[in-house]
Amino acid sequence: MDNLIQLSLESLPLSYQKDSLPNVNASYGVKLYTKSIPDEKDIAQVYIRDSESEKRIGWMIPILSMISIEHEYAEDIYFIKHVYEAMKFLNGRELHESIYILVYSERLLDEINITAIGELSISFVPHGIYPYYKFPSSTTIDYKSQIGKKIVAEKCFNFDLSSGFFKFFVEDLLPLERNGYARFMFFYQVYELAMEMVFYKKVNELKLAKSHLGVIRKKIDDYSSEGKLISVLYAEMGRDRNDQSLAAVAKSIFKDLKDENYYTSTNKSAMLYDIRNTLVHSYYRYSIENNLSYLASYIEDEAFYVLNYIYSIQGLKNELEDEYFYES
Amino acid sequence: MTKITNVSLDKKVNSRNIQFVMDIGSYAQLAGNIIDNNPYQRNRVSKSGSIYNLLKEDIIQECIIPPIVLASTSKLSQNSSPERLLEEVLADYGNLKILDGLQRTLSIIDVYNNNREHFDNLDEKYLVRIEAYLSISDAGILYRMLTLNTGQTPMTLRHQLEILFSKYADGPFDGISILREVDEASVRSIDAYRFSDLIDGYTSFLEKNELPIDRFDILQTVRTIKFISGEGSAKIDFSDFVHSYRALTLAFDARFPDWVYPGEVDEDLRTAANPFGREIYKIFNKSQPLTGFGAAVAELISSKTVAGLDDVNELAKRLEFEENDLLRLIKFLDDIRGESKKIGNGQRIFFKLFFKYLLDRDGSSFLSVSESLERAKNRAMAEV
Repeated sequence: MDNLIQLSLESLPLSYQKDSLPNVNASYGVKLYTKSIPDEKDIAQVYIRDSESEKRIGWMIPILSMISIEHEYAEDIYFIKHVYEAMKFLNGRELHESIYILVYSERLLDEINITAIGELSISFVPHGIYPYYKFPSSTTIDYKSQIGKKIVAEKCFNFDLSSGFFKFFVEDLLPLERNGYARFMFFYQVYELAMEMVFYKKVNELKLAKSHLGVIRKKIDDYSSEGKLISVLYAEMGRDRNDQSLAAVAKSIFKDLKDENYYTSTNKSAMLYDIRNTLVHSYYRYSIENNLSYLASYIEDEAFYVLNYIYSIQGLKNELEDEYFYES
Repeated sequence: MTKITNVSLDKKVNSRNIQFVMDIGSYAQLAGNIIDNNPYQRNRVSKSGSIYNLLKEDIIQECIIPPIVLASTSKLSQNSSPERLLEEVLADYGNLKILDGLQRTLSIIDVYNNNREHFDNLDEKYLVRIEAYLSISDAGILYRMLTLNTGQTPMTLRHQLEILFSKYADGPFDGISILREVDEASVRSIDAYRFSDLIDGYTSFLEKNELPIDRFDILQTVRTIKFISGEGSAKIDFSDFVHSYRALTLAFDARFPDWVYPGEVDEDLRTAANPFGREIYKIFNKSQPLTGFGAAVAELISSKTVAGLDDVNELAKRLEFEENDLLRLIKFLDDIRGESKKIGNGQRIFFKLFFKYLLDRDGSSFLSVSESLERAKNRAMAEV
């Protein structure tokens, strides 16, 4: 019963109950998300990155903001319009106070070729905003990006259709798992899956390039090393670099077991792999507890970028969709 | 037809209680008048739909419904017979409220209106059991409302207060104009309040809690009952509450006449967002300070630091101000806003602390607006 908000004409401020833009007759839709420790100031316009440009598709509105006139958008006619449109779907609903509502224009979605709103399910993960299916989020958001006036997101797999591991991933793991160790390991599964896909992709590229069999053998040998494969994955993603925030945490774990050069020049892929090995094989040797939350949040965001990468490569995308994302 | 079955005196709330039966058609008509006269009694107890559907079926089968309890605040003629008194009470439905059995009543009206012919042609009239408290005070009504409703269909204290004090909505009283169902922007002077904001404040006073509790909380209700019951002769009525709060706001208004938020403000007092209010009434005639005041003064009364609401009227005359008090108040509210996930709640906490420090005789910042603001801000920033 705790922390539930009944959306009704009684809970909604009077000033939000009138259509502030009656001449705008577009079709709107809503998708529900959840963020632990919701903040009524988290109101943002949502843009989707589309090849070179960014296109606005609607607003992200915490449910807390819909029943408050204390935030800075209380008199903004565009905000009010989106609340008004959202109420067409939500009037009478009792929702948890952690709910965030994406109010989008159907027309604007069409313009950027988003065929189902589920394609934006995990688009706000870096901000700690997860799609709402069964449970309100209760995970830590200490290391998540702040929400400003504008969120720029990308589309990805339609998690509304997910099955198997990814159904568990989006419905249970994302909002509920609070154990940092477990959370890290679950997200690492996305790496395992991606590395396997990249392995086959790279071998296939060699085959298509009619590479010499000896070269292919040698490469397969290289790719069989998980440490090298994760670097290949990051190279493919174009995201490998030394990350000083991750290095600082690595240093607090490994201390002088690694020389200074390791912390200043090692790429994040290799560092994450080392940390993963330490968690699996030597957790008891180190004091990692205080960093688990950070590491889980870090790898969660990285897993998000890994999924975005897979989604961006047509062959990999099809493969994953056939396995995990389909109409049942 | 109406027939009296018992007359007793409720010595707790000092009110005569008449128990009677009435045929369903007459009660449906009477109840319709009561509800039409008080929109706050109309809806809102809409949960458990299937239970009430069952009740409707039972009514058609002429089940015995537990007595419905009414309360009348009519001034009645002395020494009249019970029959005469009851007649007067039922005729003056503007002063009648349904204390207990609102949902049953709505069901009765619904069933009767859909089956008039059936009920009107019964050989023996189907009777509804009713009892009415006569000439009962507002505090008595509230006490009985809470004790009767405890443990039943959730009706929030706030909803019950709306029903009880709806007579104040729309009307000016003692120089105050109370506006019903209007936007905050419609409050345009230190003398005007929204009814819902005053109810928020009085709810916080009775619950000793500045934060809105929209759900039914039986423990809180019990505490409230104890509070009302324990105050005895102390003045804790709704109108006392409004007058004491108003005394404080008028003290600010008198010290800073015609104050408006300046166009230029020193950097250290500048706000990140829009100022909480640009005029005194826009700062104080709002839900947040009213609820903060309600919770603060209730705590002070409980701890015997303040004798009662009328004590506040006297203290208001002795407040000590400094030049920048209003700008600092607004700056502190802006700081709280930046830290709060729920801005309104953060501001309520701040106002509660401010009024508590300001009116606490045993505290170091008693009557000092400036020092109370500083202490409230420091504490509130740690709490939100």
